[in-house]
Formats: sequence, structure tokens, C-alpha cells
Amino acid sequence: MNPPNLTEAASGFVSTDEVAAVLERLSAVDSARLAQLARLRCLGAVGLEWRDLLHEAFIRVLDGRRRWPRDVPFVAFMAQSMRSIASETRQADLVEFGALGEHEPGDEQGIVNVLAKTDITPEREMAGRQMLLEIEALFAGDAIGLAVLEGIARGDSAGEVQAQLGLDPTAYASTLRRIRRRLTSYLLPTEV
Amino acid sequence: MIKTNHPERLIDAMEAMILAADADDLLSAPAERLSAAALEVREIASRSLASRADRSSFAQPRNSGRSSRGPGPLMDYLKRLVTARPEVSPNLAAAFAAGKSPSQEEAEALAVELLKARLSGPKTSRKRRTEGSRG
Repeated sequence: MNPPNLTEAASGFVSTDEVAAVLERLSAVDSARLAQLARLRCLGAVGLEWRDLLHEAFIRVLDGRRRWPRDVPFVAFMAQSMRSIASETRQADLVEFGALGEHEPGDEQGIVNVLAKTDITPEREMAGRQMLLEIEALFAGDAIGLAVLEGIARGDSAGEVQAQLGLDPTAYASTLRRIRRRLTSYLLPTEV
Repeated sequence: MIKTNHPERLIDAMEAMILAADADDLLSAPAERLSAAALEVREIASRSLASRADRSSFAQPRNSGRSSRGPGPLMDYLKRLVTARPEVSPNLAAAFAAGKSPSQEEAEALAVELLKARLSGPKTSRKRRTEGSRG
């Protein structure tokens, strides 16, 4: 392995050679967590597959397009990277597919007319609904768990969530652990 | 029923929980699924590392324009397009859905049609739409 590039080291980023070394030695725990994070980001995403998302995130950090700050744990950095790529993909779909939909009908034949007559919005709305349905199914029978998750997603503090739901700190911590374990199991890939 | 206008925030909240999960949380999942997931991620990492090595040895001649290690950006784009809009190319959509390699000819034909559409289309559609909304 080559020594870290001086510029990269001085600027607080991990060199691409160091990234490669980390990827070669991924632990089982980190690997499983990366799979879960990739699957999570693909919930309700049209045509986005978790393996492709993770592969793209690996490629971007390996080729230096995304730089890994030394003070951020690798898995957390990869989570940020996958969030960014998933967001880019959604934006690209809006621009690319939406722009094609803006063409005047009749100025081309075949495929262009099909594209002009359709719109991405229904699929996107369906994907959003599908995502919420998946989350609801995940928390079926655990209304408190879902309410805690919604409170956290709103940006409420732990104290606020506890007050809203009438939970003491012990019950709150127990609910958080239950949510984590439910997510951990649900987001592991089922097919290999 | 979940009531939110920002479902992505739920995803962000779940992401934070996964990152906060400790080894005990992770090990509560079935061991065989954990090891299968770890194996698959390592394979993806190996493929990414191989792809990097492939690019760094660009001076070596390649057998064809397509890499055997991945679909490439064009095929990835077409996959997302036909997954979102299967009516654009039912054959390609079916191939992708079945996990099969799509016909190269059909993929190229679709790419050409998309390019023609882009090049021949009006460039000021957004402006026109804005102007049209004025009194």
C-alpha cells in the first residue's frame, strides 16, 4: 500500500489507498451494517437497488470523487455518501425523465411520444406511499415504537418524545432498543 | 397510519438508529443472514476494488467496450428509466426485472432515441411554462 498522499493527509482526508485497505479488511459487523444502510436508502426508491447503491458509494470514495474525513467513522461516512447518491438519483430522475416529459407531442415518433404522454410523478408518489407502507408494516403491532420513530424524525428531543408518549427514561430506552433490533433484522438482505 | 410530508426524515431517523446499534443489537438478528449479508458486501467491495485496479491499468488493451464487472452508467440509467416507465421498452423492463442481461441492440436503440429526443426537443420549455402562467 502506498503511503498517504501528503495533501490528503494534511487536509484531514483519508487517502484513496487507505480507503482501499479499509475495504479489503471490512469486518462482518461493518459489512452487515453497510448492507442495512444501503437497503434502508432504497426503501421506496424507483429502480434503485441496494447493491448498486453500495457499489457506487465504494467506487466514488475509491476514485476520490468523495473524500472521507479522518474524523468520521467509515460506516457513518458511507451512510452519508449513500444518502447523497440516492438523493442525486432521485433528482436526476426528476430532471431527466421530467425534461423528456416536457417535449411537445408529435415532434418525434415512437418512444418520444410515449415519454411525452407520461409523467414520473405517479410512480414517485407510489414509491413514497410504498415506503410509508413498508415502515408501517415493519412497526405493525408496535404503535409506541412507531410513535417514537416519528417523534425523532420530527426532530423532537428525547424528553419531548417521552412527555408526549408518557414514557419514563427506562421505557424510552427499551423502546429505542426494540426499534434498533427490529430494523437490524428487517434490513438484512433475505436473498443472496 | 403515518402522517408526514417528509418520509425521508423517517429514513434519516432509522439510519441514525442503525448507526447507533451496538453489537448486541446486530447479533440479535439471525446469524446466517448476518453472515450472508457480510459476505455479499465483501463481494461488492472486492468488485469495487477490482474496478479501481482495472481503471488504473488503462494502458492495457480491453476486450470490448463493456466492462464485465458492471453494467456501466448507460445501462444503469436505462435500468432506472425502464423500471420507472416499463412502457418505454417492455422488453428491456422485463429483462431487468428478471435479472437477465438485456439485449445490447435494444439498449443502444433506446439510448439513441433518448438522445434524439433530447437534441430535437425545445430548449425553453421551462421558460415557456413560466411565461404561460402569467396573467
